[in-house]
Amino acid sequence: MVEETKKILTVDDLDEIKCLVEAGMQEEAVAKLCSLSNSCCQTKCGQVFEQVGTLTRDLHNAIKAFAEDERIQVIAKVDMPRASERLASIIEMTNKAASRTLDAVDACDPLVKQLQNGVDKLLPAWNALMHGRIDRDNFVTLCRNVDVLIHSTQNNAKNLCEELNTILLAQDYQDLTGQMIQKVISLVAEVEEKLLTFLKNFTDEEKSITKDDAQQGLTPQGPALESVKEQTENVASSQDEVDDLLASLGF
Amino acid sequence: MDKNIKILIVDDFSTMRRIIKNLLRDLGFNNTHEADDGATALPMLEAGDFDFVVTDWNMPIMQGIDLLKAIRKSPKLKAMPVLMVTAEAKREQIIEAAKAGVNGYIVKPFTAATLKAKLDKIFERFE
Repeated sequence: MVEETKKILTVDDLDEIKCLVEAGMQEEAVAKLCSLSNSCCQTKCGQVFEQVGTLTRDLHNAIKAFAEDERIQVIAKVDMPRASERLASIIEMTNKAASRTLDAVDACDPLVKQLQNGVDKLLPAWNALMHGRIDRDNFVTLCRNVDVLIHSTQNNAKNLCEELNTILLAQDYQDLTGQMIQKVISLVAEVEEKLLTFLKNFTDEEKSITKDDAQQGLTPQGPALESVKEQTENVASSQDEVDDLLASLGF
Repeated sequence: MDKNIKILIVDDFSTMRRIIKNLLRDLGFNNTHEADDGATALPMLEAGDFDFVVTDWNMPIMQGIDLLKAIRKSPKLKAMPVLMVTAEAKREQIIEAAKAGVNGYIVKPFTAATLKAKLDKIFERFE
Protein backbone atom coordinates (compact mmCIF):
# COMPACT_ATOMS: atom_id res chain seq x y z
CA MET A 1 0.00 0.00 0.00
CA VAL A 2 2.86 2.33 0.91
CA GLU A 3 4.51 1.58 -2.45
CA GLU A 4 1.41 2.61 -4.42
CA THR A 5 0.95 5.78 -2.40
CA LYS A 6 4.52 6.74 -3.18
CA LYS A 7 3.83 6.44 -6.86
CA ILE A 8 0.99 8.94 -6.57
CA LEU A 9 2.79 11.34 -4.27
CA THR A 10 6.39 12.17 -5.25
CA VAL A 11 9.01 14.64 -3.99
CA ASP A 12 8.82 16.31 -7.39
CA ASP A 13 5.12 16.99 -6.89
CA LEU A 14 5.78 18.56 -3.49
CA ASP A 15 8.68 20.61 -4.89
CA GLU A 16 6.41 21.88 -7.62
CA ILE A 17 3.79 23.00 -5.08
CA LYS A 18 6.54 24.60 -2.99
CA CYS A 19 7.80 26.51 -6.02
CA LEU A 20 4.28 27.65 -6.92
CA VAL A 21 3.65 28.89 -3.35
CA GLU A 22 7.01 30.66 -3.26
CA ALA A 23 6.22 32.28 -6.61
CA GLY A 24 2.97 33.57 -5.10
CA MET A 25 0.84 31.45 -7.45
CA GLN A 26 -1.71 30.39 -4.79
CA GLU A 27 -4.43 29.25 -7.17
CA GLU A 28 -2.12 27.01 -9.17
CA ALA A 29 -0.63 25.59 -5.95
CA VAL A 30 -4.06 24.76 -4.54
CA ALA A 31 -5.16 23.23 -7.85
CA LYS A 32 -2.10 20.99 -7.92
CA LEU A 33 -2.66 20.00 -4.28
CA CYS A 34 -6.33 19.17 -4.96
CA SER A 35 -5.54 17.03 -7.98
CA LEU A 36 -2.92 15.12 -5.96
CA SER A 37 -5.33 14.61 -3.09
CA ASN A 38 -8.04 13.38 -5.48
CA SER A 39 -5.88 10.74 -7.02
CA CYS A 40 -4.79 9.63 -3.55
CA CYS A 41 -8.43 9.27 -2.48
CA GLN A 42 -9.36 7.35 -5.57
CA THR A 43 -6.66 4.81 -4.99
CA LYS A 44 -7.57 4.45 -1.30
CA CYS A 45 -11.29 4.10 -2.05
CA GLY A 46 -10.51 1.59 -4.75
CA GLN A 47 -8.67 -0.53 -2.20
CA VAL A 48 -11.52 -0.33 0.30
CA PHE A 49 -14.09 -1.27 -2.36
CA GLU A 50 -11.94 -4.17 -3.41
CA GLN A 51 -11.70 -5.41 0.19
CA VAL A 52 -15.45 -5.08 0.72
CA GLY A 53 -15.94 -6.98 -2.52
CA THR A 54 -13.67 -9.82 -1.43
CA LEU A 55 -15.38 -10.01 1.96
CA THR A 56 -18.84 -10.06 0.38
CA ARG A 57 -17.79 -12.80 -2.00
CA ASP A 58 -16.28 -14.86 0.85
CA LEU A 59 -19.38 -14.39 2.96
CA HIS A 60 -21.63 -15.32 0.07
CA ASN A 61 -19.59 -18.42 -0.69
CA ALA A 62 -19.50 -19.48 2.94
CA ILE A 63 -23.24 -19.03 3.43
CA LYS A 64 -23.91 -20.82 0.14
CA ALA A 65 -21.62 -23.70 1.10
CA PHE A 66 -23.24 -23.85 4.54
CA ALA A 67 -26.78 -23.80 3.14
CA GLU A 68 -26.02 -26.26 0.38
CA ASP A 69 -24.25 -28.69 2.68
CA GLU A 70 -26.56 -31.69 2.50
CA ARG A 71 -25.62 -32.77 5.99
CA ILE A 72 -26.77 -29.36 7.34
CA GLN A 73 -30.11 -29.87 5.60
CA VAL A 74 -30.53 -33.28 7.22
CA ILE A 75 -29.49 -31.89 10.61
CA ALA A 76 -31.99 -29.03 10.44
CA LYS A 77 -34.91 -30.99 9.04
CA VAL A 78 -34.52 -34.43 10.61
CA ASP A 79 -31.84 -34.71 13.29
CA MET A 80 -32.71 -31.59 15.29
CA PRO A 81 -36.45 -32.36 15.61
CA ARG A 82 -35.52 -35.95 16.54
CA ALA A 83 -33.09 -34.69 19.16
CA SER A 84 -35.84 -32.55 20.71
CA GLU A 85 -38.14 -35.55 20.67
CA ARG A 86 -35.47 -37.69 22.34
CA LEU A 87 -34.89 -35.10 25.06
CA ALA A 88 -38.63 -34.83 25.70
CA SER A 89 -38.96 -38.57 26.03
CA ILE A 90 -35.96 -38.64 28.38
CA ILE A 91 -37.83 -36.25 30.68
CA GLU A 92 -40.87 -38.51 30.48
CA MET A 93 -38.93 -41.73 31.12
CA THR A 94 -36.99 -40.34 34.08
CA ASN A 95 -40.21 -38.92 35.48
CA LYS A 96 -41.93 -42.32 35.21
CA ALA A 97 -38.97 -44.11 36.76
CA ALA A 98 -38.89 -41.67 39.67
CA SER A 99 -42.64 -42.07 40.22
CA ARG A 100 -42.45 -45.88 40.12
CA THR A 101 -39.58 -45.84 42.59
CA LEU A 102 -41.31 -43.41 44.94
CA ASP A 103 -44.56 -45.40 44.74
CA ALA A 104 -42.66 -48.54 45.70
CA VAL A 105 -40.91 -46.76 48.58
CA ASP A 106 -44.29 -45.50 49.80
CA ALA A 107 -45.65 -49.06 49.62
CA CYS A 108 -42.65 -50.41 51.59
CA ASP A 109 -43.00 -47.88 54.37
CA PRO A 110 -46.10 -49.34 56.13
CA LEU A 111 -44.73 -52.89 55.76
CA VAL A 112 -41.51 -51.96 57.55
CA LYS A 113 -43.42 -49.99 60.19
CA GLN A 114 -45.69 -53.01 60.81
CA LEU A 115 -42.64 -55.20 61.33
CA GLN A 116 -41.11 -52.63 63.67
CA ASN A 117 -44.30 -52.26 65.71
CA GLY A 118 -44.76 -56.05 65.92
CA VAL A 119 -41.24 -56.53 67.28
CA ASP A 120 -41.59 -53.58 69.67
CA LYS A 121 -44.81 -55.13 71.06
CA LEU A 122 -43.17 -58.53 71.58
CA LEU A 123 -39.97 -57.29 73.16
CA PRO A 124 -41.01 -56.92 76.84
CA ALA A 125 -42.48 -60.46 77.01
CA TRP A 126 -39.58 -61.82 74.94
CA ASN A 127 -37.00 -60.24 77.27
CA ALA A 128 -38.84 -61.69 80.23
CA LEU A 129 -38.67 -65.13 78.60
CA MET A 130 -34.95 -64.78 77.86
CA HIS A 131 -34.33 -63.97 81.52
CA GLY A 132 -36.49 -66.92 82.59
CA ARG A 133 -39.00 -64.69 84.32
CA ILE A 134 -42.24 -65.42 82.49
CA ASP A 135 -45.38 -67.03 83.80
CA ARG A 136 -47.50 -69.52 81.90
CA ASP A 137 -50.22 -67.03 80.81
CA ASN A 138 -47.73 -64.50 79.50
CA PHE A 139 -45.86 -67.29 77.75
CA VAL A 140 -49.03 -68.40 75.97
CA THR A 141 -49.79 -64.79 74.95
CA LEU A 142 -46.20 -64.40 73.72
CA CYS A 143 -46.50 -67.55 71.60
CA ARG A 144 -49.73 -66.28 70.05
CA ASN A 145 -48.16 -62.86 69.29
CA VAL A 146 -45.07 -64.51 67.82
CA ASP A 147 -47.36 -66.62 65.66
CA VAL A 148 -49.15 -63.48 64.39
CA LEU A 149 -45.83 -61.75 63.72
CA ILE A 150 -44.39 -64.76 61.89
CA HIS A 151 -47.33 -65.00 59.55
CA SER A 152 -47.67 -61.29 58.88
CA THR A 153 -43.91 -61.02 58.36
CA GLN A 154 -43.94 -63.90 55.93
CA ASN A 155 -46.55 -62.06 53.89
CA ASN A 156 -44.94 -58.63 54.29
CA ALA A 157 -41.51 -59.98 53.32
CA LYS A 158 -42.99 -61.29 50.09
CA ASN A 159 -44.54 -57.86 49.39
CA LEU A 160 -41.32 -56.09 50.30
CA CYS A 161 -39.43 -58.28 47.84
CA GLU A 162 -41.88 -57.37 45.11
CA GLU A 163 -41.56 -53.65 45.81
CA LEU A 164 -37.75 -53.87 45.88
CA ASN A 165 -37.91 -55.66 42.57
CA THR A 166 -40.06 -52.85 41.17
CA ILE A 167 -37.43 -50.33 42.32
CA LEU A 168 -34.74 -52.44 40.66
CA LEU A 169 -36.61 -52.64 37.36
CA ALA A 170 -37.46 -48.93 37.41
CA GLN A 171 -33.72 -48.25 36.98
CA ASP A 172 -33.80 -49.54 33.40
CA TYR A 173 -34.34 -45.93 32.31
CA GLN A 174 -30.61 -45.34 32.87
CA ASP A 175 -29.66 -47.64 29.99
CA LEU A 176 -32.44 -46.44 27.66
CA THR A 177 -32.05 -42.71 28.26
CA GLY A 178 -28.25 -43.13 28.18
CA GLN A 179 -28.45 -44.38 24.60
CA MET A 180 -30.70 -41.48 23.59
CA ILE A 181 -28.46 -38.93 25.30
CA GLN A 182 -25.43 -40.34 23.44
CA LYS A 183 -27.23 -39.67 20.14
CA VAL A 184 -27.98 -36.08 21.14
CA ILE A 185 -24.39 -35.52 22.32
CA SER A 186 -22.94 -36.66 18.99
CA LEU A 187 -25.36 -34.40 17.10
CA VAL A 188 -24.44 -31.41 19.28
CA ALA A 189 -20.73 -32.15 18.67
CA GLU A 190 -21.30 -32.27 14.91
CA VAL A 191 -23.24 -28.99 14.83
CA GLU A 192 -20.57 -27.40 17.04
CA GLU A 193 -17.87 -28.42 14.59
CA LYS A 194 -19.77 -27.09 11.59
CA LEU A 195 -20.49 -23.77 13.29
CA LEU A 196 -16.84 -23.40 14.29
CA THR A 197 -15.72 -24.04 10.71
CA PHE A 198 -18.19 -21.40 9.52
CA LEU A 199 -17.04 -18.89 12.13
CA LYS A 200 -13.35 -19.48 11.36
CA ASN A 201 -13.88 -18.05 7.85
CA PHE A 202 -14.55 -14.64 9.32
CA THR A 203 -12.39 -14.32 12.38
CA ASP A 204 -8.62 -13.95 12.31
CA GLU A 205 -8.18 -15.26 15.78
CA GLU A 206 -10.59 -17.02 18.06
CA LYS A 207 -12.13 -14.54 20.40
CA SER A 208 -11.85 -16.03 23.82
CA ILE A 209 -15.25 -16.33 25.41
CA THR A 210 -15.17 -17.00 29.10
CA LYS A 211 -17.70 -19.53 30.29
CA ASP A 212 -19.14 -16.83 32.48
CA ASP A 213 -20.15 -14.73 29.45
CA ALA A 214 -22.78 -17.31 28.75
CA GLN A 215 -24.29 -17.23 32.23
CA GLN A 216 -24.48 -13.78 33.68
CA GLY A 217 -26.12 -12.64 36.83
CA LEU A 218 -28.88 -14.32 38.73
CA THR A 219 -30.60 -16.17 35.90
CA PRO A 220 -31.22 -19.71 37.11
CA GLN A 221 -28.78 -22.17 35.53
CA GLY A 222 -29.98 -25.47 36.92
CA PRO A 223 -27.40 -27.91 38.30
CA ALA A 224 -23.84 -26.61 37.87
CA LEU A 225 -21.76 -28.54 35.32
CA GLU A 226 -18.60 -30.23 36.60
CA SER A 227 -16.54 -28.35 33.97
CA VAL A 228 -17.96 -25.03 35.21
CA LYS A 229 -17.28 -25.94 38.85
CA GLU A 230 -13.66 -26.74 37.96
CA GLN A 231 -13.05 -23.59 35.95
CA THR A 232 -14.63 -21.01 38.15
CA GLU A 233 -14.63 -20.21 41.81
CA ASN A 234 -17.96 -18.54 41.30
CA VAL A 235 -19.94 -21.74 41.82
CA ALA A 236 -20.18 -23.56 45.13
CA SER A 237 -19.27 -27.17 44.45
CA SER A 238 -20.61 -28.62 47.70
CA GLN A 239 -22.96 -27.95 50.58
CA ASP A 240 -19.89 -27.21 52.72
CA GLU A 241 -18.89 -24.36 50.40
CA VAL A 242 -22.43 -22.97 50.56
CA ASP A 243 -22.32 -23.16 54.36
CA ASP A 244 -18.90 -21.45 54.45
CA LEU A 245 -20.14 -18.65 52.20
CA LEU A 246 -23.24 -18.12 54.33
CA ALA A 247 -21.14 -18.24 57.49
CA SER A 248 -18.89 -15.51 56.06
CA LEU A 249 -22.05 -13.42 55.59
CA GLY A 250 -22.92 -13.85 59.24
CA PHE A 251 -25.31 -16.79 58.99
CA MET B 1 -39.43 -28.92 68.17
CA ASP B 2 -43.14 -28.99 67.32
CA LYS B 3 -43.59 -31.73 64.73
CA ASN B 4 -47.11 -30.65 63.89
CA ILE B 5 -46.05 -27.41 62.22
CA LYS B 6 -47.68 -26.81 58.84
CA ILE B 7 -45.10 -26.90 56.05
CA LEU B 8 -45.45 -25.81 52.40
CA ILE B 9 -43.16 -27.54 49.87
CA VAL B 10 -42.73 -25.50 46.67
CA ASP B 11 -41.11 -27.17 43.63
CA ASP B 12 -42.19 -27.50 40.01
CA PHE B 13 -41.07 -31.15 39.85
CA SER B 14 -43.47 -33.51 41.59
CA THR B 15 -40.65 -36.00 42.15
CA MET B 16 -38.66 -33.50 44.19
CA ARG B 17 -41.79 -32.54 46.16
CA ARG B 18 -42.36 -36.20 46.99
CA ILE B 19 -38.73 -36.73 48.02
CA ILE B 20 -38.82 -33.73 50.36
CA LYS B 21 -42.24 -34.77 51.67
CA ASN B 22 -40.96 -38.30 52.42
CA LEU B 23 -37.80 -37.01 54.09
CA LEU B 24 -39.84 -34.62 56.23
CA ARG B 25 -42.20 -37.48 57.13
CA ASP B 26 -39.22 -39.59 58.23
CA LEU B 27 -38.18 -36.68 60.45
CA GLY B 28 -41.67 -36.72 61.98
CA PHE B 29 -43.23 -33.80 60.09
CA ASN B 30 -46.52 -35.07 58.69
CA ASN B 31 -48.39 -31.79 58.14
CA THR B 32 -46.95 -31.01 54.70
CA HIS B 33 -48.62 -29.37 51.71
CA GLU B 34 -47.44 -28.79 48.15
CA ALA B 35 -47.36 -26.00 45.54
CA ASP B 36 -45.76 -26.15 42.09
CA ASP B 37 -44.41 -22.58 41.86
CA GLY B 38 -44.24 -19.27 43.70
CA ALA B 39 -47.42 -17.90 42.12
CA THR B 40 -49.42 -20.86 43.46
CA ALA B 41 -47.62 -20.84 46.80
CA LEU B 42 -48.07 -17.18 47.72
CA PRO B 43 -51.91 -17.15 47.88
CA MET B 44 -51.80 -20.46 49.81
CA LEU B 45 -49.43 -18.88 52.34
CA GLU B 46 -51.51 -15.70 52.60
CA ALA B 47 -54.69 -17.71 53.12
CA GLY B 48 -53.38 -20.54 55.29
CA ASP B 49 -51.74 -20.84 58.67
CA PHE B 50 -48.39 -22.16 57.43
CA ASP B 51 -45.37 -22.16 59.75
CA PHE B 52 -42.56 -22.97 57.36
CA VAL B 53 -41.70 -22.93 53.64
CA VAL B 54 -39.29 -25.17 51.71
CA THR B 55 -38.82 -23.79 48.19
CA ASP B 56 -36.91 -24.45 44.99
CA TRP B 57 -35.38 -21.49 43.11
CA ASN B 58 -35.83 -22.26 39.42
CA MET B 59 -39.56 -22.54 38.71
CA PRO B 60 -41.87 -21.23 35.99
CA ILE B 61 -44.02 -18.10 36.46
CA MET B 62 -42.76 -17.09 39.92
CA GLN B 63 -39.30 -18.19 41.00
CA GLY B 64 -38.32 -19.13 44.53
CA ILE B 65 -36.21 -16.00 45.07
CA ASP B 66 -39.20 -13.83 44.14
CA LEU B 67 -41.43 -15.87 46.44
CA LEU B 68 -38.93 -15.28 49.24
CA LYS B 69 -38.91 -11.51 48.54
CA ALA B 70 -42.73 -11.46 48.44
CA ILE B 71 -42.89 -13.31 51.77
CA ARG B 72 -40.50 -10.80 53.39
CA LYS B 73 -42.59 -7.91 52.01
CA SER B 74 -45.91 -9.29 53.26
CA PRO B 75 -46.89 -7.96 56.70
CA LYS B 76 -48.51 -11.30 57.54
CA LEU B 77 -45.73 -13.59 56.30
CA LYS B 78 -42.53 -11.58 56.80
CA ALA B 79 -41.34 -13.57 59.84
CA MET B 80 -41.90 -16.99 58.28
CA PRO B 81 -38.78 -19.19 58.08
CA VAL B 82 -37.87 -20.10 54.49
CA LEU B 83 -35.50 -22.91 53.49
CA MET B 84 -34.25 -22.89 49.92
CA VAL B 85 -33.51 -26.28 48.33
CA THR B 86 -32.11 -25.68 44.87
CA ALA B 87 -29.63 -26.70 42.20
CA GLU B 88 -28.55 -23.05 41.86
CA ALA B 89 -25.06 -22.77 43.35
CA LYS B 90 -23.53 -19.54 42.04
CA ARG B 91 -22.02 -17.36 44.71
CA GLU B 92 -24.04 -14.30 43.72
CA GLN B 93 -27.23 -16.34 43.88
CA ILE B 94 -26.47 -17.58 47.38
CA ILE B 95 -25.59 -14.02 48.43
CA GLU B 96 -28.79 -12.73 46.81
CA ALA B 97 -30.86 -15.29 48.75
CA ALA B 98 -29.08 -14.35 51.97
CA LYS B 99 -29.76 -10.66 51.32
CA ALA B 100 -33.41 -11.44 50.64
CA GLY B 101 -33.61 -13.06 54.08
CA VAL B 102 -33.41 -16.79 53.47
CA ASN B 103 -33.11 -18.91 56.64
CA GLY B 104 -31.28 -21.87 55.10
CA TYR B 105 -29.80 -22.81 51.73
CA ILE B 106 -29.39 -26.40 50.53
CA VAL B 107 -27.90 -27.30 47.15
CA LYS B 108 -29.29 -30.27 45.24
CA PRO B 109 -28.48 -33.10 45.23
CA PHE B 110 -28.71 -33.24 49.02
CA THR B 111 -28.92 -35.87 51.74
CA ALA B 112 -31.46 -36.55 54.47
CA ALA B 113 -28.76 -35.61 57.01
CA THR B 114 -28.26 -32.18 55.39
CA LEU B 115 -31.99 -31.49 55.46
CA LYS B 116 -32.21 -32.49 59.12
CA ALA B 117 -29.19 -30.35 60.05
CA LYS B 118 -30.62 -27.25 58.36
CA LEU B 119 -34.07 -27.76 59.89
CA ASP B 120 -32.54 -28.15 63.36
CA LYS B 121 -30.53 -24.98 62.86
CA ILE B 122 -33.53 -22.96 61.67
CA PHE B 123 -35.84 -24.08 64.47
CA GLU B 124 -33.15 -23.65 67.09
CA ARG B 125 -33.22 -19.98 66.18
CA PHE B 126 -36.98 -19.69 66.19
CA GLU B 127 -37.53 -21.38 69.52
